[in-house]
Amino acid sequence: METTQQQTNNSALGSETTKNAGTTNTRETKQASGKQLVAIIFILAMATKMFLLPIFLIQSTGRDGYIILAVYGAFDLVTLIPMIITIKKCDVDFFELLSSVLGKVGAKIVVAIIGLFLFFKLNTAVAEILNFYGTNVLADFDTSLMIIVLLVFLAAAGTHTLRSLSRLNEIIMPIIVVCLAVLVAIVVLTGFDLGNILPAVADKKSFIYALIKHPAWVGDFTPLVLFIGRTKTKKFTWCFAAGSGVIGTGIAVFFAIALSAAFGNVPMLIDSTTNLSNILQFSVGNVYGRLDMFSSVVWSVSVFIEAALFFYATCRCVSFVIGKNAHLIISLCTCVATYVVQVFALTDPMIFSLAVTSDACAVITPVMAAGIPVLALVCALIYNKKQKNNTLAAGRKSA
Amino acid sequence: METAQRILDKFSTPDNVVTHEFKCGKRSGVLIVQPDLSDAATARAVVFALENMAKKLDTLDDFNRYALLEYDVTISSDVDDCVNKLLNGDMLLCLEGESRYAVINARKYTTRGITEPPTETVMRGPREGFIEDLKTNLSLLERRLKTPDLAIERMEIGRKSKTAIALCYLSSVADEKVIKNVKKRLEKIDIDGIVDSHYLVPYIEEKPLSLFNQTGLSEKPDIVTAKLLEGRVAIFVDGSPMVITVPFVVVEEFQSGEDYYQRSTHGTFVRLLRYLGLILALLLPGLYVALQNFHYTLIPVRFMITLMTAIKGLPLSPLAETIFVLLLFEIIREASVRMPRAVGMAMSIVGALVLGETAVSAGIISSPAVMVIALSSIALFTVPSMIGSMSVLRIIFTLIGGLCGLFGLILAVLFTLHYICSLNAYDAPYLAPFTPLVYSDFKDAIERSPFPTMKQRPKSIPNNNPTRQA
Repeated sequence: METTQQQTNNSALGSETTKNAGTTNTRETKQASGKQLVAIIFILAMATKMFLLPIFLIQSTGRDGYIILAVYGAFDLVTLIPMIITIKKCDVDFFELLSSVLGKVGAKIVVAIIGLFLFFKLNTAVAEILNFYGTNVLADFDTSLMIIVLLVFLAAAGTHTLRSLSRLNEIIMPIIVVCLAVLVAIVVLTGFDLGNILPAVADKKSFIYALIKHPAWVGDFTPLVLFIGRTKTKKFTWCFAAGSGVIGTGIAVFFAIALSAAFGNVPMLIDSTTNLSNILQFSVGNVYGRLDMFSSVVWSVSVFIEAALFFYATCRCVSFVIGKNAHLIISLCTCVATYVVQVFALTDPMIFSLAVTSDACAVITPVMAAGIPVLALVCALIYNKKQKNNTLAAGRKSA
Repeated sequence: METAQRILDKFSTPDNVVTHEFKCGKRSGVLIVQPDLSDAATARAVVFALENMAKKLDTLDDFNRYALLEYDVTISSDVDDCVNKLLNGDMLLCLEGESRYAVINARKYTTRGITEPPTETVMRGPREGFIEDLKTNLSLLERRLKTPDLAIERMEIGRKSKTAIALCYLSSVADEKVIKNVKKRLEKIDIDGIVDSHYLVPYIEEKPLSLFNQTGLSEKPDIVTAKLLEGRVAIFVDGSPMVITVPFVVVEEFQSGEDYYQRSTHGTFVRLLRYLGLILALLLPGLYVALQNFHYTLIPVRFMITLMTAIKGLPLSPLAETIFVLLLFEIIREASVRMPRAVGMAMSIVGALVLGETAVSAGIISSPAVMVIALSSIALFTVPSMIGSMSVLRIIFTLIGGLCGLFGLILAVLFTLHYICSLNAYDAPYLAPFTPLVYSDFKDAIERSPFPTMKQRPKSIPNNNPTRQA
């Protein structure tokens, strides 16, 4: 009997060579797995869009805020398509891709511009976090001190690898999903009057104004460029990736609808203390404590992770531009720059509001949000064609 | 005699060794013995046999062939090697006019018996534990793994201590890269002495300064056997009952040998309790302080009223109070570990009852704070191997929770998790199977599935042979 067992194991050893075993074990050749990519797309799709954007939109256009959010979500989903195709098609990382197509100098210029955009997105996310915690959760919140705690985490993200960040996101994901489920349950159980969001687009002028003024919140999928050539994918990863983007956007729109239904007709009552993450009107009461608020606070982890992704992407862009892998120094410099922007430039929420709703921002952000994935896709196609031609030429030469 | 003198000259105090002169026919010689490490009876028997030898013996090879037939003998001319062997308990036989030595195995150390290790006691399952003798420990392992696949590679570490190390693995299962990596790390060690396996741990770990264990340590042969069967490599150190195993993933902290000797449902339940215990131990004090200091609206009203009554009139802030109770607990714990058992009971009474109770009734600390810390501390003991690191982390989390509220606490947890996610020693992701997600490994992570369902070896541990059972 024992001999049989030994033979079984030996035959298994014979068929499962080291090479085969490598594919079943967790030894990773790439920085992220397909599952991690799917989880990150979900977080990027809903995190900052669910945070303070619905309040700003309702303040600008009343009950039509959710439509604008849906438009932004749809826009981002469209930009996700070329990004996913590029991740699927390309085997080299983004920086190598740009260098081989645009040349080293051209690539550095493009990456510098992308880095600036990512830095802008990082500051938008950080400003939202500080605003949320400053007005909602902490009574005596000193931004200049509290931001240091956040920057320590961001610096850690900047000094480690994309693998660590992807894993962090993957392990946190179930907690975020549970919190979302609790929030959805509270919203659904306490109920909201959908009639309040109708008729849609009654005031076209304010609708268009709000639509034009808030595109700072599009382009959430741009940090995905770092996953190009560094993701181990399977056959259906693309479907799941697109699906998670749609679900994430759908959840953001759902909460925007709930908030619009509650405050759409009384936009003067809404401020950052009544955002959907702190659903005062849906409080489950004092008997069980503020379960809704607790869930929303834990849910806000997703925004921290999105900010960390923007931070990481910014650092890697800087690293490529200066041509040095001094991750710790670059991270610290980025932290200092973020601190200066947040504490000295964006001290007043009004300044932040003016900055993100400026005309320049309204033009540049959508262009960058769409331009980066398209650029990546075009470069990937050119690169693949070049590679194909090179292979053919080499084949002919050898023949 | 010149050859014997060469050996004795190596010792700063030659009295440490004993020399027995003998005459065998016309040849005279010396037997050098280390009396503390060798069997005196063997020495006597060898001398007696040589002096009464009827046959004429000329060379050392003749001695080996005819007079020392019943002993384990090797011939060597390397003086340093012979000194080393002498220090390990072997005897050296020197013959006049012969430059070589006969090394006779006469090792005999006093070792303690095989008992149940105090760090891994079980209600069910084997009670054998490793001891300080490498030979005994290897025999305990070999008795459980009767396969030629079991590879045992021996080496010595320590310029002065010359500690014997044994690297064990199943050659058909363990990953070559892991074996090579471990060997490389061990060979690189250049230290004067190794007195315990813990000395090796920082050399084997990827991040020695880390707060988290990156190597498994066990005193039980059944556990080490199970780990070898999963593709790990074990390092035995002579003089230590603790065996190191690598690669190491965090779920091993939550696994206990006993999980496998009871019903799988109960095993799963106990594991869930351990996970819950660790979360409670780590976060409860920080959460308690954060909620009291900043987020009292999150506390249910009825509980809030009770809490307010309890903390009314306290001279300390919630943060200071919690840190005070935490430190008090740590001091009592440390004292009770170091204290002789006879006074341990008195210590518990003074620490827990007198000090705790008096502090509460004197109004220095509140009873909810004592209860929170007590619950957190008891929960901490559900994962005994993590007590040290988690105690430190718990104090850090409490400080951050008290100073920055939930905002800081969440970021601190994220920071810690992010750091743990970066640990990837020997190609085994530290947080696997949770991240990267390895569904099949969940069978032995949170859940303890019945053995018939665990057909594959854990994918989180690099191995050459994924199939465990047909």
